[in-house]
Amino acid sequence: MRQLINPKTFGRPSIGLALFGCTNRPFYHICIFPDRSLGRRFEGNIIEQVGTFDPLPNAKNEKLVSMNIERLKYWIGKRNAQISVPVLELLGLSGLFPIHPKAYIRAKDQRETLAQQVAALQIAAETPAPPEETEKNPES
Amino acid sequence: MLLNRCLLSPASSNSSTLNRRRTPKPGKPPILPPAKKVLYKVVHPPWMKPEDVKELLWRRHTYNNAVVSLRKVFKKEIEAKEAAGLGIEAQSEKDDLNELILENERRNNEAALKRERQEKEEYEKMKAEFLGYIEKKLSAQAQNAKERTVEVKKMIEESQNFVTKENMDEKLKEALENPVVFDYCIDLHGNKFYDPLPMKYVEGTPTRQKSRAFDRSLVRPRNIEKPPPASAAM
Repeated sequence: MRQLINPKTFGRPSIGLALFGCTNRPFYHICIFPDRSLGRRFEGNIIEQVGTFDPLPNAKNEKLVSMNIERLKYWIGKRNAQISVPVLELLGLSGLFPIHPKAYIRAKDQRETLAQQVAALQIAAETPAPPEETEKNPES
Repeated sequence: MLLNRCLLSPASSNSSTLNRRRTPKPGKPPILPPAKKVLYKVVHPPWMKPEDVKELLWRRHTYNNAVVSLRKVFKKEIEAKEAAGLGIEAQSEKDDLNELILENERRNNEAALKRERQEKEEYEKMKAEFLGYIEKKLSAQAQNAKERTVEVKKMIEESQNFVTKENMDEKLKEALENPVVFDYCIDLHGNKFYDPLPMKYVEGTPTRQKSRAFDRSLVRPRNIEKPPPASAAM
């Protein structure tokens, strides 16, 4: 049986990333899709394209994102669109929205793992110190 | 049938423009079963740290509050823009207007050029026509003048022999002295036959019979004038 539509909650568009590109080369367009109950998102379903996101970093190690702020404001403010989590994170990074809570938690975890890795490296760097000192002492 | 398809289909074999009839529906057809990769797949997400969960709770509340207020702010902004005439529709209308004005200007210029060309052509044609008329009239006038001069000259020449009140007496005398008689017949050699013989002054009584009721050819010719020399014949 096909998905039943509730007329009371119908008519809310959603902003999400649409995957384009080819094998081993993804590329996302930030698009406006109609209501979720009208079927999963596909190319023919897109209402409007509002930006792009390139997940692979370029030669300067940058991930480029473009956004049409005016149209985004229209869809978010006037038409009350649902926004997907990746798009929310990108908007937070851009400055239009506050930083997403998930981003904070992820950043905290990454900071901790980075600190652990740095500590491990330092320990690995300090361990061969004693044999070097004994060698240096007779020299000095 | 084969020939028609060969003629209609493009040269390249991998043409996706002609063979496509309708875009297919997205996703798998509902009758197909789920894939083996997905079957019995159970996802166990890792447990989060309790402090992270506590942090996430208040962060989520603040974030949602912020998002709701941002929606209201954006709505106000867009409405203010539209009221001020800077909205999307107003912009598109302005763009349309500019485009239409440009197109109108272009059309006007084209029409002006065409008009200029046509007017020039017509002017040239009219000028040529009028010049033709003038030329015709002038040539007719010149022709007329020539003919009339010739006529007048002839007339002037002829007027030398005109009879005026002064010449009348001499001319009368001359005419009476040299009467011209055309009452003759002429044969192939050029002999003229006068019958009756012309007389300057009537001698005796003239004959009573004056017409040609009887056939003169039956009578032996009596009055033969010598024919003029061959050079002056006719």
